[in-house]
Amino acid sequence: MKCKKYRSRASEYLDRRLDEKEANEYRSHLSACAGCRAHLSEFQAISLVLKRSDEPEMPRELHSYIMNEVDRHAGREISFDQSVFEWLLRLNPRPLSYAAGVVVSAILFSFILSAVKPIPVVGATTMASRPVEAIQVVTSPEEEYNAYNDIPLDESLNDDEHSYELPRVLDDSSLVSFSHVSYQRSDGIAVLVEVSPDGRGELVEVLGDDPPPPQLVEQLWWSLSKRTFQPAMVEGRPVLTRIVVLVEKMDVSG
Amino acid sequence: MSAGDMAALEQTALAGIELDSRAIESYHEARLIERLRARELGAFEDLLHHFERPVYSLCFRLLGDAEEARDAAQETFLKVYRGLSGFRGEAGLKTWIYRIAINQAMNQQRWWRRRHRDETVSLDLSRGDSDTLGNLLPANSASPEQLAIATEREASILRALAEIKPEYRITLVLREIEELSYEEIAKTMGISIGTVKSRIARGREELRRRVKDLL
Repeated sequence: MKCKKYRSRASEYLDRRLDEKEANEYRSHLSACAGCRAHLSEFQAISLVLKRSDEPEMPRELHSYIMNEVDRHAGREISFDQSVFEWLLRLNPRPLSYAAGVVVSAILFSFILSAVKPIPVVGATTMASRPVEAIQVVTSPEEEYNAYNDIPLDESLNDDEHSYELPRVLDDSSLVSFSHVSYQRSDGIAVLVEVSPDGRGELVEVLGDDPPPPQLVEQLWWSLSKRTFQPAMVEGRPVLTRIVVLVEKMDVSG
Repeated sequence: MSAGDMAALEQTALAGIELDSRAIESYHEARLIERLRARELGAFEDLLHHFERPVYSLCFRLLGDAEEARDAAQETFLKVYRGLSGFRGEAGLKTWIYRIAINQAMNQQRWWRRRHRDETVSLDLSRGDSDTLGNLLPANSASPEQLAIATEREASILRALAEIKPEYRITLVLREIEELSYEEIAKTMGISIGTVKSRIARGREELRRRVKDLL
């Protein structure tokens, strides 16, 4: 029990932290106790080894490296980018690499998402309204308009502009039924069609073929009977119009 | 004049010299701090000359690896430079710099240990050269056998130092190797003198227990 008390004082005794009275008590105990003497001498031996240990050799480049860094900081203001970069370098690399991985994954995922387009819904208003935007309305002065249409110019009329709307296939129609014609004719075909004011189309002539094969004529009549056209409009009124329908086979296989 | 009077006079004179040297040291430190705050590069170089060896040595003792110690010392001085504007001078310059070095070394060691859990740190094997502390001790008249035993004993003590609890290791390094007083250690580590006493005593006891068979 006594030894335990004195051994707890050994460290302070070694460092001369005990007051005179405590030191004397400790010394007189040591003179009578070989175990505590050995205990103190072990402390002293360890202390001596640690005290006698030489300074480790300092790396030669340490001084110049530190001065260069300090000089760099002192000589110029470090840009924001550089300070962020240096701050990142000081961080623990593992969480930093995790964070970078999350950011890169998020960017890649957003790219993939942006490439996915919704499936169009047939009959949606956006789809139906698209052809209407393509309607061309040509306006020209009467002088130009009459000359183009081979109409004698009436000097008594005023020189108001005339409007002319091009004929076209109606919004709810298409020319898909003409596609089978192209399979028979590798060089394509041109057909003159007359569109009446009520929108019906009639075959006038198969251009380039004289006489055209009867089977082709029959197919063209059938196709035209399935289509409705928007005739040309002059001053807002439908007029008898002639159009040329070109059927070309196009290779889209790539 | 009696021998006792002579001894008393001598002691008084020695105490006076010590006080004077402390006053000069503190004057120089105050001047240095003033120049450092004015961002004088020369002042920082003076500081570096004065502290680079002890700081590197401290980091080496705490980390047990030359490269790690170099990194810790570099980072310590860069932090010192960046922190000069915030240094109030309440603690001495040495205390402040040592505190930064200890924190830096301990942070670095925590990070290092997480990655190298299975590796043991050996102070003598990681010095960067083949010298152990035993080789560096004066040979005196020791025989080669005695020298070999002493070398082995010293290496074991340093290995054991690297293995004890960090708070014990820091206080022992500061006390035994850096030879700081209890008061200086308390200021550097931000703990009470009572805690310093108990950590040094426990550290010594732990170290003794580990190397007892070699002593």
